Amino acid sequence: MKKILFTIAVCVLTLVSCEKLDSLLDTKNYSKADTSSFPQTEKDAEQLVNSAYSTMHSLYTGSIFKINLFRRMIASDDIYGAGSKSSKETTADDRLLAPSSDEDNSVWKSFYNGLFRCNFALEAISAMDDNLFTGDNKAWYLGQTHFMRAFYLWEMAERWETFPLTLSTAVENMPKASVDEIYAAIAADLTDAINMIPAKYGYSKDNNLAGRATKYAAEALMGRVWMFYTGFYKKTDMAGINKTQVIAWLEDCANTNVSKFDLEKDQRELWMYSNEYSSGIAYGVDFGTYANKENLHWVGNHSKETVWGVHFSYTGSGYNRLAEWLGFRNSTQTPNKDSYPYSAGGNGNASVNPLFVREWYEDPDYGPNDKRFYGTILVANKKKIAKAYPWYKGEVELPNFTGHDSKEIERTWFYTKKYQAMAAYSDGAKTTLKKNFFNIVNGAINNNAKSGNKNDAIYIRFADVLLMLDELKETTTGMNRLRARAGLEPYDSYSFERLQKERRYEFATEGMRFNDLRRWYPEKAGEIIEKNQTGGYIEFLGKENTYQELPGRSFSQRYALTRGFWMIPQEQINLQQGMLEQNEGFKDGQNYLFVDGDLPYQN
Amino acid sequence: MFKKLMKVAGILMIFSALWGGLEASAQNRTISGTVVDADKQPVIGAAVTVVGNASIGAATDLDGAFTLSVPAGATISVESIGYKSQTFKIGDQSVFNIVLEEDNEMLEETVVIGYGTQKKRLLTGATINITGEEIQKMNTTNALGALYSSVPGVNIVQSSGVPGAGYNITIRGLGTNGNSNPLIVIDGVAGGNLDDLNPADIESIDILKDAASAAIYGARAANGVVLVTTRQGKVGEKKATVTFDAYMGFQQPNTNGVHGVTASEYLDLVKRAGLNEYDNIEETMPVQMEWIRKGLWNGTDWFTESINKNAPTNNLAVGISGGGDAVRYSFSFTKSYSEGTLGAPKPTYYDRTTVRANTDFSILKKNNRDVIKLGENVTVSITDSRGMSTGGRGSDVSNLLTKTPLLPAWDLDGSLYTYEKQLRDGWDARDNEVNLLEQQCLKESQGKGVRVQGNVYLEVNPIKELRLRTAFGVRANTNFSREYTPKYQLTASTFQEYDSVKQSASVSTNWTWELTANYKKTFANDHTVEALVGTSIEATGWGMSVNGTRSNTKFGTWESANLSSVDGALTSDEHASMGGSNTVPYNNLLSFFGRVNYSYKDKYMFTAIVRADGSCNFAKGHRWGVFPSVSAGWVISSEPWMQSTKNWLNFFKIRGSWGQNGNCRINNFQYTGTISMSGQYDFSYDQTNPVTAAYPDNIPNPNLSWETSEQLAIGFDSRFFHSRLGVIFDWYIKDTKDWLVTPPNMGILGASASSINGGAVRNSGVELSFTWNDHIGDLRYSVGLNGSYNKNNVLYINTAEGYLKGQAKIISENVAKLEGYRAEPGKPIGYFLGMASEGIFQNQKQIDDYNAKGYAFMNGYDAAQPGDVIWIDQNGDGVYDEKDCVEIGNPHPDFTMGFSISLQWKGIDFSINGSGAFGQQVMQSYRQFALQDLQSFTNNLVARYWTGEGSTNSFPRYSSGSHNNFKCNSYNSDIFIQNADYLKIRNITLGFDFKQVFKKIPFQQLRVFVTGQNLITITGYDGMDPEVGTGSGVDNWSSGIDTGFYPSPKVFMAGVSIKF
Repeated sequence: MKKILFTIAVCVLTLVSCEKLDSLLDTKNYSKADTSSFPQTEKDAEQLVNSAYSTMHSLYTGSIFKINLFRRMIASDDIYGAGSKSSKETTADDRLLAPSSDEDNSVWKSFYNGLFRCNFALEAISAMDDNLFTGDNKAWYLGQTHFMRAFYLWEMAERWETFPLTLSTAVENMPKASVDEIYAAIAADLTDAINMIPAKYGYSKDNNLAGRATKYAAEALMGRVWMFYTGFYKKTDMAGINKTQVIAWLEDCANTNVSKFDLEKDQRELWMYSNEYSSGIAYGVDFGTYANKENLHWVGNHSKETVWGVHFSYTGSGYNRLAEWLGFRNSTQTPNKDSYPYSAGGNGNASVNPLFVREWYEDPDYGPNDKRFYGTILVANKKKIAKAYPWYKGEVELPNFTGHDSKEIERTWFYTKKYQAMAAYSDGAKTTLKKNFFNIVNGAINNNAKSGNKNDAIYIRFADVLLMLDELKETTTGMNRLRARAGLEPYDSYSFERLQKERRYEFATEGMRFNDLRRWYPEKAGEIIEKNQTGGYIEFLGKENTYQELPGRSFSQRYALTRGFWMIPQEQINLQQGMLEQNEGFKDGQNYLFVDGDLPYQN
Repeated sequence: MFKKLMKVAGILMIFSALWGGLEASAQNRTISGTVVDADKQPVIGAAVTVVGNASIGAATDLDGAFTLSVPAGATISVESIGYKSQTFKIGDQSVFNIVLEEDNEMLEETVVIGYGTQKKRLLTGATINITGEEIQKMNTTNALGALYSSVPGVNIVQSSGVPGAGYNITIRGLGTNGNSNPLIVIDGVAGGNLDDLNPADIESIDILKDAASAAIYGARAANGVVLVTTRQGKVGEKKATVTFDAYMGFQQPNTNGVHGVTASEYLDLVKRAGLNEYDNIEETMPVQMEWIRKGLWNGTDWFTESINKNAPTNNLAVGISGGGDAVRYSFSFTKSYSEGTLGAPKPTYYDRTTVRANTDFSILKKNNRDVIKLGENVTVSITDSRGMSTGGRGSDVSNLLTKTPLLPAWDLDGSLYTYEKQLRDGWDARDNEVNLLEQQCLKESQGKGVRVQGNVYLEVNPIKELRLRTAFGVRANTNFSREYTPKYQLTASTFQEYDSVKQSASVSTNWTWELTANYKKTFANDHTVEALVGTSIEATGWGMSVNGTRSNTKFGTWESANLSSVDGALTSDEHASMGGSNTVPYNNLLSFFGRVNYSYKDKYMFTAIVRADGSCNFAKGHRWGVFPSVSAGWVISSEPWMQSTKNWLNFFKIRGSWGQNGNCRINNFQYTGTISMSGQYDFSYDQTNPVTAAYPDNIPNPNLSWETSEQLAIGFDSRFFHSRLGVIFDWYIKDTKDWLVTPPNMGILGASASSINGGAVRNSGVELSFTWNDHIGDLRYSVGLNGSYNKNNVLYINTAEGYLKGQAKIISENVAKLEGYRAEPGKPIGYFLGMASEGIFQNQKQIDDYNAKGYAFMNGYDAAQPGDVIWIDQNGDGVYDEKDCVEIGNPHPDFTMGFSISLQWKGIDFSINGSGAFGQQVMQSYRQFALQDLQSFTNNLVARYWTGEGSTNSFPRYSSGSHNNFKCNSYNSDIFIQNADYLKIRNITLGFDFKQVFKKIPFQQLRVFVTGQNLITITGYDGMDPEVGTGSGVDNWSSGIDTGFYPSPKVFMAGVSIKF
């Protein structure tokens, strides 16, 4: 008996230990490569670098909270929360509240996916033999990856202030890093990017180069981060990088001869609304739009003014959701003659603050003669405008547009044109009205005002490089170039107020204002924004009203708590077992949740 | 005690026999006699009847005596349960002394064990054997649906009431966090699918519950094994037997009275919750308010609208079997169709056609023994179905329960209320409201799944003692489908401006190959040894799939839509897509096994098994698992010193076992870091040339290895009172170790998690089952009752936090602070976690009293009002946070039971059976309080609210869902927990077999029957169906979460069963 058992056991064990037998179970993964065999070639390395870029698309899907650009627009004094009563995300965002305790969870994970992919690419490519690469490509790939990691880290720092700093693929549960550690990491990555990415890659329309991170993008981003850090935290240096160094880098970037980046001739031609399909110029017909009147021609994506932006493919699945949220709406969510050339199929989640419009309109140094005024502000509904804004004598571009009374809250009748989704006729004879002009550009794109937007999300414009230099050097060189472009007289001398105004109007509703205020006035930004937007005319579900703060949770009160930073997703706090601390303003008892019925308006 | 019992039983029998006897007409002559057993003890209540005329008969009395008047020359039969029947012809003799031989046939029966059969008497493990007849009597579409009441220790829950939905079977408690279903072995082929099998084709099902019984299947047997044997032709069945079974019926959903509220009730409820959302309802739905006033309409109860009234179900099965010396065969054909009870106007359905062929050929015969035998078993099934998503937020059923009643489903003229009608009427009460019925009607689809499972085998018996067998089994799945969606506009933003067609096809194959050698010999008369060695290999074969989508079809109709009926090239179609995939053959599992059975005088039994399995799911060095087991049995009743109990204890066997089994059911390649190439970015100037982006998509775990289940079991099988009474008892401890767990990982890791060997759980329990078979005159009856108790307790979890997180946001999106269920040491797996309450504040005085006692209040003392929940601040620190969250419910039943009663009198048969589960809780919320204040209400919820002092002490007042009564500082809470004990009458059948009465008819059987399934559910649960077969589609190990579930149907049917 025992013998038999023993024999069986011995047989089995002998068989098992037999290498040959074991190898019968070896399985090759034909559908995926694995880390033991990847990357092996330069092409593999390039694909790893691509993934560092690819993650950015996921920052444009799902909740509007994912899009930092949009969050900053809404939270600033440029734009109200607006939207429909059910779009709690935007209303909450506008008031530095959260619509749920996990609204940030997917974006948190996306950012860390981005970091992990950068870390993996850096480790794997560094370990590869230099001889596998053509020319200076290894440094080029590594430099781009450093840039991407810095970009993610900066977006996270701007959003959450501090967070666990993962700079390698071996990650364990860890607490938040300090502010200085984070900015040191960003500075190091950007320095690497500046040093490693060959200077020959500037702005380019060449295939495989369009939209890549360049040395100059790194220099510009360094300027952006350095100015935020030194301003917000009141420092003179950032990780040993001083002002002189930053100016030198920015000047390098601003040097059109080396960087090839430059201003476009008209700022308005950066935006989709100047496209030739909506204006009919493509068909040799004049559809009578603003673009026709001003003879504007969209320069398209990959503008030489876009030093850094997120790009979408006409054939890939990603798209820019900004237009979906910013786009205004009518009751059928379909464009018609009253909304043309705009699409009217958006969520209507942004109304431009009328107090801001008035300030611009009445500013003697700017006013409606500033080409950027009508280039930015879309004015609708002649009757309402006349009644609500007696001071406004300007153009009403969509006089008959009536919106959607039963849905819109905090509607001001001023919308932003930048990023606005555009309708277009399919031909000069106006045979059919497309909801999205991209569908005409390329039939593979959805004819949908929401998922069919393939325009760049622009993070750093060349104009910003010029204005950063002016601000650092207290000069008017950049300002006056921009003013000239906008049809305004040059300034004779620099002042901080002039610089501030120039930035405000040049970058109006582009998501710059919020962080500008935070770095200029780290403590007072909340009060400024509150003052600049409270009391503006709004319509709440069609009824006249004025913009009001929430009792006990006004913008300045929320800012005092949060300093403009956002909530750490609760799920991550749970998963990290107490290692991760919630940000101030979003802790238990801090009344951070925005729920139905919190808006103080009576209808 | 026993004698007394027998006396009572005897008297009863005599009475009934007398009653029966009254009907017998006086005949020629009277006979008398006694009936005794081998030990000369009288056999009481034995039936003495005339063969061919059952109306003439008598029963023996307490002394075993009888008298009977019979026709001359008649043949008399004497029958008694537990004895072999006897017949004799009446000659001149008038006094008969009859000795009945004990019938141990039941114990001599053989049952199927892994890779062989064994006498039931010699089994040393805990197994359950269910015969095909028992299964067929229940008339279910799936054999598992027939087992509810007869399998102690096996928990069967249908995954939903969608027709054709599968079953979740848990044997001896949930032990894994992965797939917990047992291994199904059909005719020796592991990994089969019971859904494809017609229950009428089943000869028997054997369920192996303990580790030792299942050990021969080592790998993947951790959850137990279900062995299914299909009908085979029998030797000597020279004339073919033809069977014909058919039934038709209709079904109704088991809603337990749950339905949605009317529009006016809804508006009132929203107002009572303090929401001003519909203050200007007259403006946003002017026409519908007019309808309400005129009494033309009062809101849409989407759920009720979706009910498919009297959904038909029918089944037709034809079988032929027979066999001679050389060939044995069994063929069958089945067609069954069932509509679901929900999904109107386009209800769900399930349509299955099954063809099966089992044959075996004797190739070489010697001394009437098959020396070489070749055979095959093949089942081909063709299925077609339309489903519905159920369980989980956003599923179809959940949407039906929560959809606003303010949107009409139908216009007054009976047509669907479309978006154009919303515009026509200025209906604007909600954003983007889709008419669910319209949506349900949109898509047309047609598809077939063809599945083939079967094997061929060759058996060689060179000498009597040795049996060599090799079998090659194949499973192949093929699916084809075509779908068509017309262009539509359901709301302003839910539209598609083009019609689209999708076609897909896929093929996948798996095969197994096994070799076994079995040697059996009896030495010196008393020592029987049986040894088995074998090897098996299981592999995935070539497989592939293709699918394509195109838009703007030429004809724009469903009938003509296909991928080619579109103008232009694929590239010119903006909405076109194409996809495909394939699998390359590889070996999944390689196994070696051996088994030794030894028995001495059929009295002492011993079995040892060892099996080694290698799985490709693990890295080299972690691939092999060795799973041993031992078991032993002792038939005490065969001992000479037990002779004294012989007259009441017929059989008593004690058995015990210990063993281990493995589990490797996880996704492949988790031991290595795989690179995903699914990313893209576009660096081209014209933006039409995206390039591939590659990134690691998981955090690899190279140490991943087998999950092991270890079980210690002790039990006894016994038969009493001439085998009338059967009692089976089992006790077990089952530990599942090295759980294959995929814990949710921290976002900072930057890639998705891989599985780990991360935990252990213990299930321990007892099972007890009683059966009683007897007859009272012509009335044969049997009663079965079984119950099992199981305790589920997690032993350890290897993750950093020491427990395994479930999902948060179970009840509502904003209840996010902590997971709603968890696997944690010392608690049952998947227990519900949350804030506990101790009632509802009934009045202000109570609030003041609590305040005076220094209680903390969740919203502060000032905010508390009557009707609010009294939350328990467990640690008394004045704050309600994670530390106050405790176990608020357990989804596992403590106790499950089954019962069955069947009666047979002359040609009439009647049976009733049911099952119940007790001690478990269900977490239920059809609406998402804290997120969607405007979701609809169901009547059971309305009935639950606190409406004033004394109305209820378990559910709060009406208020906005964002009130802490419903979201409790964003923690889950016990106001959503309910006891879900239930007792269900699963099946009631009444049948009549004409053959029993009209002996001359040319059938072996001609039975008609009516059956009701699931007719009665006794429960205190207020939701639809307490038998919630889902954890709402989240983790495998969660259960008992009801967020809108497709209830099981009540079925009423009638049928006929004919045998030629």
